[in-house]
Amino acid sequence: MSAAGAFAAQADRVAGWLGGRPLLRAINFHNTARQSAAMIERQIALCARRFDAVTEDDLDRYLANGTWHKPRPGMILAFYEGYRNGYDVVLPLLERHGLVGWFFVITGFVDAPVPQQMQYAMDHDIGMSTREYTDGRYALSWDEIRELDRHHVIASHARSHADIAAMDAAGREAEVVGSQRRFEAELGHPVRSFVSYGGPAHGEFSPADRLVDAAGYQFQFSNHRIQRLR
Amino acid sequence: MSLTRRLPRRDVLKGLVGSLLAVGAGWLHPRRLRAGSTASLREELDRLVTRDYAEQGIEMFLAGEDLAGGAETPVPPGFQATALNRELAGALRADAAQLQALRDDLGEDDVAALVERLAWREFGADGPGADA
Repeated sequence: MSAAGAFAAQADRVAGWLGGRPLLRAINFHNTARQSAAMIERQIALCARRFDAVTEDDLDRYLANGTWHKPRPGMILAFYEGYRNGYDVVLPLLERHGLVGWFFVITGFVDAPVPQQMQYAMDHDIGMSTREYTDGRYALSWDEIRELDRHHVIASHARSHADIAAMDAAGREAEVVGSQRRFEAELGHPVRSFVSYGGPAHGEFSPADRLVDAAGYQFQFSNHRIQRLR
Repeated sequence: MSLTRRLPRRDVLKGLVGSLLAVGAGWLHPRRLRAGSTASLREELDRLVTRDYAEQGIEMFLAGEDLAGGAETPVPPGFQATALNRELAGALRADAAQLQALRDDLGEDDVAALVERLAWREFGADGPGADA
């Protein structure tokens, strides 16, 4: 198929999903540096005026029934990678405005020794235009993740932010199942939501599907869809 | 994973009806999604795709699926399409056709940019829906 044909086919496919599925609004954040705090708060405050928070239990109910049960539409505020400023900058804003954050954490970033975290980020497509921490720690700590886990959603963004389709079987297992094992060890429970680098959906790459199922994830996020798996 | 635009007179009644439906369904102003001129589409896309995706919050619409009963039945039983569902699907198809007339180097990733623009138009903090 030509590139133009692929574009047209994808546009038609996505239009079909948006036209015939339960909808969710999302804002996807990555690095949330302190210098951007005012802009981030403007987005969060606007969301708080118009939308209701979405928890994983809310999502479970919505996708199982097909009907949204809160007075206002739901909004997923997603924070990708596991940046330290998710705790320092975002958490106080979420709590001030009463919304729930979804933190998609790359476990390998969190587990990287502090002196190596900046290099880890550069090697794993974890973008940062800002250098705001003089102590060199740019990833969340597990203590911070445990605190976020009390009132917000902790989710897996796999282990190393790499293309799982290009990995061998052992590498894929470490990405999908291995990251879940880290959450179990550190949080005392598995996480329910998963998204891999590049965001393929369930059903698009069967070796990954089997691992997602084996790891026990309930929701898979991808570029255009959120899928309830169980 | 964004868009101000005045409705043409012929769309005013349709827009009012759409807004009433939207409020009833708990959704906001889907009329803001409606594709504008080709020039405005191009201008907005050019501006939005230059945002720093690592440092800015990017608005997006996502479609939910329930695969718990099998991949053959992804639509939850109680789901009924809303005005926003219809507006989004129509706007995306219209925008894709407009964009194809402008460019011959499009790929699947460009579809995501179109959806991001629709989301920005509908609920972006600096989009036309911000004052809703």
